[in-house]
Amino acid sequence: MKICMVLEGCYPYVTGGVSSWMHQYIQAFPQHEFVLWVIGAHAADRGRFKYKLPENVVQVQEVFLDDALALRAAKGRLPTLTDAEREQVQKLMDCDHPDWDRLFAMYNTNGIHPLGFLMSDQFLAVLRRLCKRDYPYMPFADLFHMLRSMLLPVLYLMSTEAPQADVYHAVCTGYGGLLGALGAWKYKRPYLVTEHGIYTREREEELIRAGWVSQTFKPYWTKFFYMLGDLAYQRADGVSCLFENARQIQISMGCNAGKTRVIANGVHYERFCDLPPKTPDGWVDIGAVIRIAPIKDVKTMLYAFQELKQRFPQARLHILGAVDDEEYADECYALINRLHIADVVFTGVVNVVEYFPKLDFTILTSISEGQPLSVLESFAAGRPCVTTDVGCCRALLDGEAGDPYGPAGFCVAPMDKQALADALYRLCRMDPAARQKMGLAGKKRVERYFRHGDMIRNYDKMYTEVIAAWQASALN
Amino acid sequence: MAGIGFELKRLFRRKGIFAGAYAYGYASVICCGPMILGIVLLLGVGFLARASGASLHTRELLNGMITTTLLAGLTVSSFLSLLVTRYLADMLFENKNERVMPAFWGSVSLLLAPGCLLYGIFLCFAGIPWLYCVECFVLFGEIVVVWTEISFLTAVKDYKCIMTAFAAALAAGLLLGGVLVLWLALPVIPSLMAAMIVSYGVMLLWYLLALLDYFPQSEGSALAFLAWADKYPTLAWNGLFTNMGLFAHLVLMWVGPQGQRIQGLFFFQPDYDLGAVFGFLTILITTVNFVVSVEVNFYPRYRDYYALYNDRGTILDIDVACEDMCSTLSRELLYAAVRQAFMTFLALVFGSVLLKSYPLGFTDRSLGIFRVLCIGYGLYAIANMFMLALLYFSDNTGAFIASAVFFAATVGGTLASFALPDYLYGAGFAFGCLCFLLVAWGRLEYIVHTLEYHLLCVQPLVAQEHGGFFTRLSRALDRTKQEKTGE
Repeated sequence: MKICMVLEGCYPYVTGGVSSWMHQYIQAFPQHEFVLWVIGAHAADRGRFKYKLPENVVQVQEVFLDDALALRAAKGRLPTLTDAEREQVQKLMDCDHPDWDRLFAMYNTNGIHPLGFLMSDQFLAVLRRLCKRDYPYMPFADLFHMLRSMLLPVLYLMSTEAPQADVYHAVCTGYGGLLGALGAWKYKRPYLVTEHGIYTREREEELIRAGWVSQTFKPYWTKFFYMLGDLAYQRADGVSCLFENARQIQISMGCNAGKTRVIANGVHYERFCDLPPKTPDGWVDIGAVIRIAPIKDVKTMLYAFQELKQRFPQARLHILGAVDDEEYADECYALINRLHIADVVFTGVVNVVEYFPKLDFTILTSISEGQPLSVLESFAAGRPCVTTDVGCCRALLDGEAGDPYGPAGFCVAPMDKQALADALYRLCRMDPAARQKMGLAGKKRVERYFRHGDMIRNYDKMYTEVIAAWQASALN
Repeated sequence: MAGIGFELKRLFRRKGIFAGAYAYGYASVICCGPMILGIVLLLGVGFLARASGASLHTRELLNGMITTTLLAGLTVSSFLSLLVTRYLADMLFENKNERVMPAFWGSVSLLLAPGCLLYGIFLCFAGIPWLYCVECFVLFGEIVVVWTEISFLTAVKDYKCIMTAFAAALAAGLLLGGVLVLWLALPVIPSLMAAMIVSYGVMLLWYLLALLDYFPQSEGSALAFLAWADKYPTLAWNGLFTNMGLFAHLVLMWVGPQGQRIQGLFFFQPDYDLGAVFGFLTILITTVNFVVSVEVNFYPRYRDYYALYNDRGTILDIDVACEDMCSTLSRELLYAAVRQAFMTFLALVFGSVLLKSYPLGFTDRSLGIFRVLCIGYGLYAIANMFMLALLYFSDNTGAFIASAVFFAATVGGTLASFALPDYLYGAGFAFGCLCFLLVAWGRLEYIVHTLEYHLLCVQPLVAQEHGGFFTRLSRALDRTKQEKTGE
């Protein structure tokens, strides 16, 4: 079977949780061929992969959003839209459940030029009509420019060539979900969506904090991402997520409950389970397996560690992972210098299996997460963890209902420096045996619920079931 | 999960070129002004020559020398006038006043170098004494500088300075001319040419001091304004074509079947020239009137309309402002056209009687030409107003097309008119003006009905650099200058 994985802003351009999950996922299905249909932000990244692609990856189709900006207006006149087409464009502009079949046909099959349309009087006419009806008091020119910016990537993605495959599997909703739906529409194939976090919610949270979009237009952008989420949920034949809460959110956002299922992440337990505890050396070593990016909130981690150092000078912090955002990394380095924080080590990318024996426990301070692999790996290695209360971190630490193993670390509110410092202090001061007991709880939890083999079997089952159901419905 | 939704902020952080689109040019109102000023001076000098008892040939040669120099100077300076006006308007809008004087020196140098070369070559073969050549040459240079200064002063809207200096220069020139030829009885041509030189010299210095007063600081390369030639490539040609359209018929008439050689390369067609001078005067009032009414009535509404796009105007506000602006423009154009039609009617009915009753040299033939040219100039005046409106709406392409049609139709029409009876000789020019009017009108109708489209849709989604030859040249010059300053 040829599976087209649709990815957005992760594998194979950046390292990190979803990327390494994807890498292992492909390797775990040697019987299948994979097509990677990947959306990147910058065309300069073309071909710059951070991973050596597994042999069963038969094609990589790259799409870059900034290529949309480099488009030149098409020569010749834009074909006049029919009334039905205009209506759907208006619904798209209003983020109001457009008929995607018609839109795909317009921009993919009929070849309406995305930029040509956005620079046409027809676009203006539709916008004017919409604006007079629904947004008479919104700044018109701002709305015009905002809508062009918003629609350009969508129209551009719809106009791109879809690679052929037997099944389309998007690892998010959003732009990736749009492409997955496009591929499935074009080749009449089943379509699956797997969400590691809830994409729409993540965008919504980012929008609330974003300074680049004015308050007036934040609800509009939110509505836009909800529309893309809805597109993926409505058109997917199967939707999976990592934990039950996420499934409930998907349902609350309009996804048919019958399509949904939970498939928890899994790690290669056997690679970590035999790692010995750290040899006592008078220090307590804390590891953070993260890429350096704002979403990981490294700054709060540094503030909390500074606080910890005043109370527990024998602590050391090891930040293991690549720099994802240079600007943010520089800010972090500057913060360390300004606060004179000692004993912080940036290791860059390392083999975590080899590094875990140097660590006593781990920390994760993300603002947003799904089901972090780094926490599962830390548990598999018998290291307890301090995390922020995002995604399903609390459930990982404390166990779901019926889990007999007990707490495997401490969970604090995101961005709460003081609570984080307190939690770190508690683990640092703890007797090594007690700390190892917590780590053991995590280890047993992973052994029971989060094995990579189980995860792969569950995805394989999803492919089989969804494809069978899709074939049955196609026959009917 | 990371996602790239928020990479968008990086992609769209760069603001579109919309912000810059507000720097609408204070469109040129200088097409008519300089010619009218020139005509008044020409008539004054002609009067002095006649009063001094100079021979007919002497007066004709003096007239030919001044007219040819004036037209050559105007044609050369018209090439950059709209471009520098636009550059100036943009610089003033961005409060970069220190960029103005370098642009002035740059544009003057750029016009003088090839202009003086070409006119110098013409004078070498003109067949007149060397002293006359030198005087024509100096006058040509002064005219180029003065009209460029007027372009700059028009951009800062100092019409008062322009008129005061002109009145002073006129008085100084005519007074000196009177003293030289009437009192001291010196040779007429060199004396009155010297008076013209002094007159334009007074204007040149007066305007220069006014400019330096406005713009005491200087910074940047003198040719930085050339980057605007890449941004608005049609503006330079627009000014040139409009002026050439205005003058081409005169030159063609001089060398046409009824043209007469005065001496060497100086020609004239007395009946046609006379008709043209007085025909041109019939558009004076309406042109000035229109410029004033545009300033007073149209411009505030225009500014309000465009400001709404930058100041969060809603679609309702924009539609109301657009309606208000367009109806004001239509009204002003209609009033101006009616006023011009009335003026032309008066000129046709009473002008013929009045002009014949004074000793101006009008014959039945020249009166016939005058009547036809009155209609032509009337049409030109209205067409010029439409073109001005096109420039206000930044439709440089439309204005360029209209001016190119005007030039081509005038040349074609004038050549074709040689087949007509001689009293209908102005028909070619009138035809050119009619074409000019129809094209400019049609284009304005189109632009007004698609104003928002031109304002919003045709703008690219992200700012695009205009990296043409002139932009690279001006940047290289700026860099060189900075390096030198650094040393």
